[in-house]
Amino acid sequence: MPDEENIVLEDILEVLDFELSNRDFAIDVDFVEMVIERPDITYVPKAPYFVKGVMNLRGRIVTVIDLSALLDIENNSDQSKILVLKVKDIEVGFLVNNVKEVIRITKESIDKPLNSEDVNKKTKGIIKYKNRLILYLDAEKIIEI
Amino acid sequence: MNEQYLSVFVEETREYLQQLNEKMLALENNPEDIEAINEIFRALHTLKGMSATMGFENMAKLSHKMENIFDLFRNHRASVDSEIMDALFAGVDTLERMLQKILDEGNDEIDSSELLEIYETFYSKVSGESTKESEHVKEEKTSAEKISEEVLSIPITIEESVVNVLKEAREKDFNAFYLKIKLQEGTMLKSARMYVVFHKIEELGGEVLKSIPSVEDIENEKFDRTVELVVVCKISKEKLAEIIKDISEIAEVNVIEINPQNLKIDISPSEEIEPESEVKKTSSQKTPVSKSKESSQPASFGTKITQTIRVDIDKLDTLMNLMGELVISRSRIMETLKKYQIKEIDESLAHLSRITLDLQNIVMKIRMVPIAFVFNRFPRMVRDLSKKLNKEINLVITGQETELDRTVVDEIGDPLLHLLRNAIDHGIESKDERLAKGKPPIGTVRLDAHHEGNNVVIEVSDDGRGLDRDKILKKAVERGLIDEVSASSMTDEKVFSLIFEPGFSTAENVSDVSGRGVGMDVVKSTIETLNGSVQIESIKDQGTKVTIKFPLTLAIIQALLVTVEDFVYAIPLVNVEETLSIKDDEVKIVEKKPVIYIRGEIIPLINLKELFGLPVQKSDKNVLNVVIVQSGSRKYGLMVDGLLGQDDIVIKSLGKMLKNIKEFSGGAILGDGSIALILDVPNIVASL
Repeated sequence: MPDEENIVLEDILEVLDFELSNRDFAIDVDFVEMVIERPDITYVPKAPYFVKGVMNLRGRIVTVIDLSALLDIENNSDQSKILVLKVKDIEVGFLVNNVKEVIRITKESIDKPLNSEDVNKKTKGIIKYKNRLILYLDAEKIIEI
Repeated sequence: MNEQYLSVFVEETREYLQQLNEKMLALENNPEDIEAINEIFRALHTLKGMSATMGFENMAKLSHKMENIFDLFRNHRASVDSEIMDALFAGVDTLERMLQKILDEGNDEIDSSELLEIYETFYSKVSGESTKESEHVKEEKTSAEKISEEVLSIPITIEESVVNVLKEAREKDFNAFYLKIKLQEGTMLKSARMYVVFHKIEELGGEVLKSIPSVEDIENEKFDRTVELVVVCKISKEKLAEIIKDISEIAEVNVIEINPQNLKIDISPSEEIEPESEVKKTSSQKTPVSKSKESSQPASFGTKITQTIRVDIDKLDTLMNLMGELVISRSRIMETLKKYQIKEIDESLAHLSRITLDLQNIVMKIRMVPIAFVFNRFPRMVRDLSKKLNKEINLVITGQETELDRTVVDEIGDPLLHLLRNAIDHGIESKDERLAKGKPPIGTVRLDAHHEGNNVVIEVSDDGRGLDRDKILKKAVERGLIDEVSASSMTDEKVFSLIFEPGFSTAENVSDVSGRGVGMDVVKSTIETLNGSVQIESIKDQGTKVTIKFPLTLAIIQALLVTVEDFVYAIPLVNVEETLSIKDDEVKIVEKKPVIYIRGEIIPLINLKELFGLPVQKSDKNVLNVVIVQSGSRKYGLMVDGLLGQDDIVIKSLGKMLKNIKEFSGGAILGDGSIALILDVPNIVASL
């Protein structure tokens, strides 16, 4: 039935799966511009606590966000990659440990966000994928902070 | 409504309104200025056409009414006086408001009682027929009525050269006609239609001597639905009308026979035109012969015709950004290649440098616009203000061709407006007071712009009463800006600069013109955000002069690079007074704050590490690097770790997420690809 097919297509989402401090996260793949090796980051005094600094991305000055500070998780290992996102015309870099793959998920596989108020504001929910639990970040909300 | 056409319409309407203001001022100064009348007439005519095409009926109607007044001026049936000019200026203001309404809400509906008032003034001024006309205004709703009125009320000016041809033609048994042709509403190929008209006339052995709009404009479809022609041909008036009427999509044709012998325009029996509308002499007879040549083709408007195109400012910004990147890449390549010292490449590198430099210059020039864009607004403002305050003011504008960065031009308007208002309101005395002082009764306000090295200097000066040192000091003490002890020892310059302090106003009576205690400080902060500086000089009873200085461009600036901890920061050179190396025992503590004495001046020190929230250790070095910066009249010493020297930097935004950080105005990418944050000195100082 054609109707059923439509519903199925709309229900499928593509997200980028990445690793930060040994935890799994995902973000809508539509927002992702590129993944780069961590360049020199210039410290910006007086910036909010979750801003690591700014980097030179092909002549543009782009803010780098320290996701572990933002999500209040420990930062124990080497964050060597930067996920460059473009959300509502704002370019921003997320410091991450490792980028894994693009996965296709259905809407049904997303559970309600955790009960924690703070994290709640920055996530769209938890994805259950191949026996893993992935925290699904809301890029638009993070940008607004 | 098609957005694309709307933006073109708005842009062009703005230009026409500006032109109207300018030319009407010129006309007011010289009521005999036929050129000005003609240009105003054409501007209004075009405005009427454009707004009608866009469906803005109110705007079209008002322009039409105003056009009629100028038509009367043109035919010497009414004379230019200040009362009618007031009404006409009010008309221009209303047009401006309509445009704003169109921008905001997409329609041009404004309070109709206001419009009626304007119309009444028009008619009571020129014909004393106020009641009849105002009724007319109310009635005149249907487009049919409007058309017939339009068709009959606009005769055209015929230049002497054309008149001579008409006379010659008459001797050869040609008839001369004035034709007014109106195309049907919604005609698609207007220029093609008009081409058929022209062609028909030629086929009949006739010739078009003059057309409004010009043939060129017709070809480019730069006209509304109406075309006026002066034609010679051998057939009769009725026949001509009939033939033209037969062409499809022609809504209306009006033919008037012209008798060149006595230059009387013989209008066929008409219901609406009063007997006195018979034009005894066309106004063009008065224009000197030398001018008739240029004006025989009523050229498109504007006196200076330069080849220009409109470019989206965003595209220019992108170009500027790319340019900046090119400059950075060049310096990186140079730096890398220096290590290898390859001889063969030197020449190509030098060439590359030259090209990038030229390119940089031209890109910067593209962003430059003449300051006339701002200055043009002022004559009108000064006129209104001087009337209101009952002071006669002579505004002298010089150097309006001086070019500066587009961004500055956009921002500088309001501060200048404020300075001019102050000069007229507070500076220039009343006429009696001036006469008592033995000054000429008319006050002079000068506005000048010129280049000075890499800066643009704008001066606003007046020959008024000057600043009152004692009054300023009294006020400053009252407001707690200074204490009485220091007041007496202050130099005039320092005293005068107090008026730029927030919350300061010398006006005894606060008028609605200026002086609400906000203002001068806003002027100053606006100028400083544009990296400019402002100074004030004044001599009692001789006048006041405010001097504003801007760097030529904002996008690329000269900066002093310094280091704090491991990072490089840039301080715009305009803010830098000098750099010093001092021994740490020269630092004194006054009121718990570190200061240094330089040439008898006490300069507070700002430790950048502290400001940036970095850990401050007691340094073992006993030599400190200090950059003396100036913001307004105050000097501060910034303590830095190292001085790297000065460099041209390209200012880039730090992005939306960091826009709330007041300490930095942006970032710059250095030759090695690293980023230097640019200190916003006025902001840092203001937040102390």
